[in-house]
Amino acid sequence: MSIKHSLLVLLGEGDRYGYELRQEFEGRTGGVWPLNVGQVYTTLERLERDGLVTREESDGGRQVRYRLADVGRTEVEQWWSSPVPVQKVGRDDVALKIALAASTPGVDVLAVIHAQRRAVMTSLQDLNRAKRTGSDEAWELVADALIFRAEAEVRWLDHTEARLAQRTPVTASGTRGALQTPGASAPDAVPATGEGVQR
Amino acid sequence: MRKPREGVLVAALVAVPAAAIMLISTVMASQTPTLDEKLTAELGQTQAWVRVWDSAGNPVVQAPTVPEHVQSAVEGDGALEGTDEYTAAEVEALLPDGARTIDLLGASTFLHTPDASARATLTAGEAWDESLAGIYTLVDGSVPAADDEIMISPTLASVAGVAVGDAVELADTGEYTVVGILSPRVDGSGTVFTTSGAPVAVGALGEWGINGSMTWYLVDTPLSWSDVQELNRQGLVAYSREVVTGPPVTGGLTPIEQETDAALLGAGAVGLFAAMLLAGAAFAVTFRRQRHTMAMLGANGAHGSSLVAVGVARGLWLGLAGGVVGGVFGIALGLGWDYVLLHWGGAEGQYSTWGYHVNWSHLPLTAAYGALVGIVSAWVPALAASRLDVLGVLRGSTRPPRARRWTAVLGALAVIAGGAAMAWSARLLDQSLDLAGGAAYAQRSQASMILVAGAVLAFGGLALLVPVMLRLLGRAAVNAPLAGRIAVRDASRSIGRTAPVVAAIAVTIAISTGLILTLDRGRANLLDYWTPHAPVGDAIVELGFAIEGTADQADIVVAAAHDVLPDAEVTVFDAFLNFNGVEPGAVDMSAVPFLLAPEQNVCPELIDPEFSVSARERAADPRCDSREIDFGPWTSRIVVGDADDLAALAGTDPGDAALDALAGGGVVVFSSSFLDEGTVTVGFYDVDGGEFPDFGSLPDESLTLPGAFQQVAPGTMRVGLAMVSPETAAEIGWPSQPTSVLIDADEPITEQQQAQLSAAARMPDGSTPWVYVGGGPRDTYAAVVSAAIMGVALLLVFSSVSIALGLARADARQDDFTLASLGASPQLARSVAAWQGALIVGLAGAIGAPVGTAWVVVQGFSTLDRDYVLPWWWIVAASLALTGVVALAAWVFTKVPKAVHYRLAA
Amino acid sequence: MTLDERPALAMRGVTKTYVDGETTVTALADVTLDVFAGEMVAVMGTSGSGKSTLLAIAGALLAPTDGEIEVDGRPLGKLSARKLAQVRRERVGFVFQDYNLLPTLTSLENVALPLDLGGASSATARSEARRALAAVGLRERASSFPDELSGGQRQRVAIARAIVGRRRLLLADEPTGALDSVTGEAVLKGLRERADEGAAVVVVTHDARHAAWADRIVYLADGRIVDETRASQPESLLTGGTL
Repeated sequence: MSIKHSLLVLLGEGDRYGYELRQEFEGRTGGVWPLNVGQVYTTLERLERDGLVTREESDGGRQVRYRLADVGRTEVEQWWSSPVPVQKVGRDDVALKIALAASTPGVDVLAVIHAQRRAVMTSLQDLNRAKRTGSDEAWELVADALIFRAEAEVRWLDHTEARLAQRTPVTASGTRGALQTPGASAPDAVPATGEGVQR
Repeated sequence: MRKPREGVLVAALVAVPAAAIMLISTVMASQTPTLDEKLTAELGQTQAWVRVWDSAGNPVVQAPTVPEHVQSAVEGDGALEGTDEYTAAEVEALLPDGARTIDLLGASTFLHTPDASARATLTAGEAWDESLAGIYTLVDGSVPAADDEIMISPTLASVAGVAVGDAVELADTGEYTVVGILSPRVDGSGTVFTTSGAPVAVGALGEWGINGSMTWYLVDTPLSWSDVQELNRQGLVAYSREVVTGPPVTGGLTPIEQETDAALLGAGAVGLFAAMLLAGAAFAVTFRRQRHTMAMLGANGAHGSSLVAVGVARGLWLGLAGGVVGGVFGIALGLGWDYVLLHWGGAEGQYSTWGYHVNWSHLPLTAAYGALVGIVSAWVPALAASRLDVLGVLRGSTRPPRARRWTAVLGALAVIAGGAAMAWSARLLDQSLDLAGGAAYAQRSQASMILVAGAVLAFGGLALLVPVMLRLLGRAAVNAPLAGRIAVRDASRSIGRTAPVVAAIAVTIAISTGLILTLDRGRANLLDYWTPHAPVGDAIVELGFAIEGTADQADIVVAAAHDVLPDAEVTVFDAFLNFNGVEPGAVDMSAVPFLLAPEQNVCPELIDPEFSVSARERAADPRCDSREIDFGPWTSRIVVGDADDLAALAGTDPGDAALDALAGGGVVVFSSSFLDEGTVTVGFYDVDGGEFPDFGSLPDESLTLPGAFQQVAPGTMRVGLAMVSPETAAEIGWPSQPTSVLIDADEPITEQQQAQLSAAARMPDGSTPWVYVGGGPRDTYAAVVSAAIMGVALLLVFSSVSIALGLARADARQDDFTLASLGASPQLARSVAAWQGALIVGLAGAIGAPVGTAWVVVQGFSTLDRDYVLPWWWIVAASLALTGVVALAAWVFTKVPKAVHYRLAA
Repeated sequence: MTLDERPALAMRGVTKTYVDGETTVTALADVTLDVFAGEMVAVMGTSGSGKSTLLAIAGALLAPTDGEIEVDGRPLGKLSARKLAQVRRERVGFVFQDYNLLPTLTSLENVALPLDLGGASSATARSEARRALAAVGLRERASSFPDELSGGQRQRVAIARAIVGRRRLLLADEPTGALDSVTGEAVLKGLRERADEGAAVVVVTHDARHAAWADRIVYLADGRIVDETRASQPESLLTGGTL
């Protein structure tokens, strides 16, 4: 994850030391993404190299203060006004897994989907609980982001399940995978495997 | 679009006034004879009847189809030629040659049995002939074959207790055998049917003559109009089948036109209005529920006009269906009304109702009316629906119509204006009592029109105020029970479904209230002016004149009274001989005493018929009191008696002045018009010489005596108009003898007892004295009509309310589920319906009853008799009772909703 | 939850079938579910899975074809219609997707309805209703009529009606269906608070985010319960999840 622009934004508010930047960053993003100090300094050096920041001498000590250059300010403005590019091809572990399952004979793709959904729903419930107990607005913002994306995944899983349920199941040996786990509630978080899965 | 239940509701709304229309039509048709019925009632199967109009044979002219409408055709000043009267043979000579006739003589007689005597109409001649079937109907037994065989009518049979095979006496003409029962079309009083040769008939012919009392029926010979005119020239009139079925275009008198019944037109207009209100309400509701569908149609490109066309077409079919069904139902109701009148309306009911007539041509008109109402009432909501805010509807916004303030203001103004108009009309009517003759009539007509306008305006204004009233009630209902609150709020939010129903019911209540109160006032007025023949429930027996004295007659009557009514108080009154009953020469009538009222005490209208006063002046003039006028400004009917006799007539202790006058040689008068400053004038007239009291003629001799006034009980003036002591009578010098017997019974004397009295009081010579029994005015007809009006009104009210509640329940299904899900008792829906019913009827009554009552109050100003007190607490009680009954019925008949899951319910 | 506590709602082997024309529809098949006080259970499933039927049966609006239901330990099967109405009045609060407010009554009167129906004095009913309205933040709209309120406000009034009188079992059928997401969140938050205060809440929803408010999520398919998820131990966000 690139923190380049985040640092530029923070510098735009005033000259900062490297460690100050790290603290500021974590505070403003709810501590969701803790930063490695080394990562911070490496990024700062690259920014200086590209002329986006300038180094300011401090009063003694090894600490270096950085300042946002005009080029950097422009860069920030551009960043604000341009959207984050949607990744066209990215690694989506889930989609990958399910695509494979759907096309592999002897694999109960519906069970795979159910297992994934169970996990997502559980994590949704966790996120909700965490959000309720938290108090930070920035934290809530980020938590919401995660929640909505989890919801999106659930919707995609439902959609995929509906599509796949309509087609003839792929079996190698004639046994069908059960669509439902009958009856009792299953409180454990371990994904259930359907019956008759052949390996 | 195809919810059959709503369609039924709408059709029912149109059916109600359609039923009312056909009900009125049927009843009126039944009260109008068809040509056949009229001909049969008048002629039976014969071709014509002929009667003598001018007994001297002077020419007359008659209306072709209404022979009672006759005028003398003699030119000049009306001095009639000759006094020769027609004989039967002369009349028959004027009839077409060879015509077969049946002649019937009409007279009166007495029927006597050992136990009863009754006065009866005598019809002598072959009334039972087959060709007179339709006028008279054979009920039982057989027709007379001899002159001593008779038939009687069913009423007479019941009053006199006579059956077929019994022997009776007729007057003093001997014994007859009753061989059959014959019934005239209307059997009010009793009738005896004899042959023309029967002794009683022969005697009657001699006594009464043929003129005016004999009718010749031509059995097979038709009379053309020219034949009739020929008879007219001889002073005869005729009712001819040929003329009636094909009336001449010209010639003869024009019969009096029957006024078109303004009431019927008014009822029709009101009915149309009410129907449109009701139907409009239903359509508004159904269109509101179909808004969604219509919006979809609109969104999918359906054109506004096609939406309107669809809606209007539906209105047409539903209105048509409602009109037909309602019309048929109304006919059934009308026939039921006819049945009630015929069987319980007494003689008047039978007389006025000719049969079960249906005016079928009105039915398609009613159906068309229904279709018209359906179209018009569907038009407005369909238009509104076609101009829907499509998106708004699909989005589901359900804002209620904003209360339009202008309707409330307009309504208030209309009420004020209408009330003012009605008050003005009252004032005009009151003022008309100060006008006389044509001016008074013109002002009353004007006042009537203003009254109608005012009533309509006031009513319309109140109807416009219904939404405001509902809203106020809604606010006031904050502390009412839940069901009441829901009912009021629902009513005020669905004005489109509530207000028209309230208005329609209010119209019904207003009209019924007005009609019934008017009938009631008529009945009360009748009571006020009713002068009974004798004191009510008691009898006065009038003895005839007998030269040798009537003491024996009095004894017989007294004995009869004690026999039939042992507990009654019997008083015999002596009075001056009635000179009318005296045979010429039997008594010296050269100085017959008459009590004379001074001219200044006489109502001017009696003296000069041209004299015209306003009603108020006439009423203010005690001389012109109608009861006074009945007995005339002079009398020879003077009672001779003492203080006890006076008390018996007065019904109470006589006043001191009267007792003093009686004892002191004066005259006690029962009508103050005879008093002239404490004196009374007795004039003596030479009756033998043809002298009689008249205005402007003074008697040769007169006597002035002291006089005093005594109030006597109503009905006793038959005994006499004044009283003197025997000494005073001697001074006056005119003989007296017993003339009347007063029988004061504990219980009102019945018809049977009256007949028994008559039988027991038969004189040795066979004659029967007149027995007058005092009774009240007959008002059963008014009561029956009032009951019928209430019945119809109730029917209309109940149908309208059930329609309104049906619509409300249809709207409330979603709320039913909500309430059920909240744990409402299933009875809540019934409570809400009961409250709604009470609300609708209560409001309607609050609007309708005052308007109807105000109408009657204003009408009351047209006469001087302001004594009628409106039965206020009856009106209030009836309104409350109606409201209560409707609420109860609503509670009982509302189906309890089942709590079904709302997804399944919606 | 402690095991000796009675469940506020107990459904045992509940089956519901009905005949629709020629076919027999099985809305619920052998459903067993316990909901305890203080917990919120979400019911998820596709349309026709029987969610609404389950709620209706739990709320004594429908009788099951087979099985038992107990509310606060009282079996509903033996109760007369009058007693069932009493149960609905005093023990169960129902929130519908369509709000189902009586359009002819003000907000305050709508909220007071359950108490009015139960015969409480109008003063008591009014004051309790005011409290409930205040709890959902609509105290100043007490005398408004439903059609003067926005969708979210109407739903809050409906919730106030469901909680008035402190009923212990709240049933909500797609309460956020017609609301925007922020208002919907507020509604769910309100229900969550009721659960935290000790009510037993059952919410039918198709929205995963809303279901996430529940302690347990039960999944229905073809009338049967096929799965159930819960929150795992509360941890920081970095563990668990797939992001």
